[in-house]
Amino acid sequence: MNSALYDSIIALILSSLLLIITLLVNPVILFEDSLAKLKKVEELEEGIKDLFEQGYFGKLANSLNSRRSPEEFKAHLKEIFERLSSRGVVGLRVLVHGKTVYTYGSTERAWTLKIIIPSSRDMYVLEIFIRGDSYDS
Amino acid sequence: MIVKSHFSVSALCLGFMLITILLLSEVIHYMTFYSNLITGLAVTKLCDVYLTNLQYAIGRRALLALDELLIKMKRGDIDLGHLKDSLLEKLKLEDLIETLSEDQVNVHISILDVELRRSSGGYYVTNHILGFPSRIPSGALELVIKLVIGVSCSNNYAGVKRVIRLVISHPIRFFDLLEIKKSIVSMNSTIQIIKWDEGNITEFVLSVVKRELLACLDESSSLKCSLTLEFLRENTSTFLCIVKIHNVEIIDELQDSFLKAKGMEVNGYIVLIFSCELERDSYIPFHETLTFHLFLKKN
Repeated sequence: MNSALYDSIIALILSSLLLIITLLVNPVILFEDSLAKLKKVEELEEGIKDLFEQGYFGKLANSLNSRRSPEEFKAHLKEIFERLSSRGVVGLRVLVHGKTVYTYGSTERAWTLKIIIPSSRDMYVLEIFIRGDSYDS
Repeated sequence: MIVKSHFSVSALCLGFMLITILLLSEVIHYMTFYSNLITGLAVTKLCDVYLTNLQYAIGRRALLALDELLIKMKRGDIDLGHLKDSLLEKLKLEDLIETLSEDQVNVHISILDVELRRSSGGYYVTNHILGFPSRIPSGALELVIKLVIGVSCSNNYAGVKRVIRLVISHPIRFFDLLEIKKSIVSMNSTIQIIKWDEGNITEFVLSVVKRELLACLDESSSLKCSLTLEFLRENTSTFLCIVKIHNVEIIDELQDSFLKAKGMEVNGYIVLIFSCELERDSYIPFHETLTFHLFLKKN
């Protein structure tokens, strides 16, 4: 009988320990982190979509297309950066045929999102550099 | 009795332990599930950005291709069916897919339908997004593309797939210019009997030709052309003035955007024959070919 009592006490202690460990992990914190990341991605998505809707990428494409005024193109890129910087964007880079045309801001320690900008001559790629780890990796 | 008691208590404890472990595994399972769900949602949001971008890239490419085709085809007889086929050929989307695949994104695009039709004019939201003129006059060329775009992440099951209808318009008043072109072509080989009393016959014929051509134009279009005038004696009392109108180009004055297609050309030449009574003292430049270049615009 004593042995049985002893066994059951050990089993209860072990179960309690497991429950305590689980509670210590705090699943809420784990989700909070994921939810915060999701919110950031949501904000970024909204920001980029908003830029599309307001024709910012259209204007950028036109300035890339005309090639008359590099200043105009830089100004458009700056405008895009300013509107996205509060959403975790640290830099922008414009590429054509894999070669860098212009870089604005930082391109280090960030993950990228590509935006394709077709012009009548070439296809430009705007790389948006976002602070933190990529979600799809 | 002792054995039974010992067994029942131990089994109870073991059962309690097992239930605890099962509960814990359930908790871990749900945590993983929700964590994956949140990651999936985030990936879907990113895929949605790529989808918006593809919508933009396809729309912009389609209108630029249409612009190029309108320039190429402006000389010939423009058939909407042929224009649509050429547009579909030009709409190669492989490079778009390839560029995004470098970003570990799987893209699937299938064009369901392409339609070219007369625009009733107005404000085009998609044109504004694409960076093209958004206020479109009626009689312009409207392009409707129905397509399915699917974007998913290579490393994740999440993604988006949507049927999209893009309605874009080229600002050239394509259908209006086509009507002007038809009315100019219908002038071909017409014979007019004109009464000429005095003054310079060349100037008189030119003014008649200008009047006839201007009648074909509308307020927002202009015309460039070259004329050759040739005078032939028909009989002793009458003569003929053969007017050949070459290089006729009808220009849409409202199309002042950066898009290159701004006009339409008439194939070959238009012949107008003027028959006129020959006055005794009048000077007619027989056996001479006179060439003129005209630019006509109403008002």
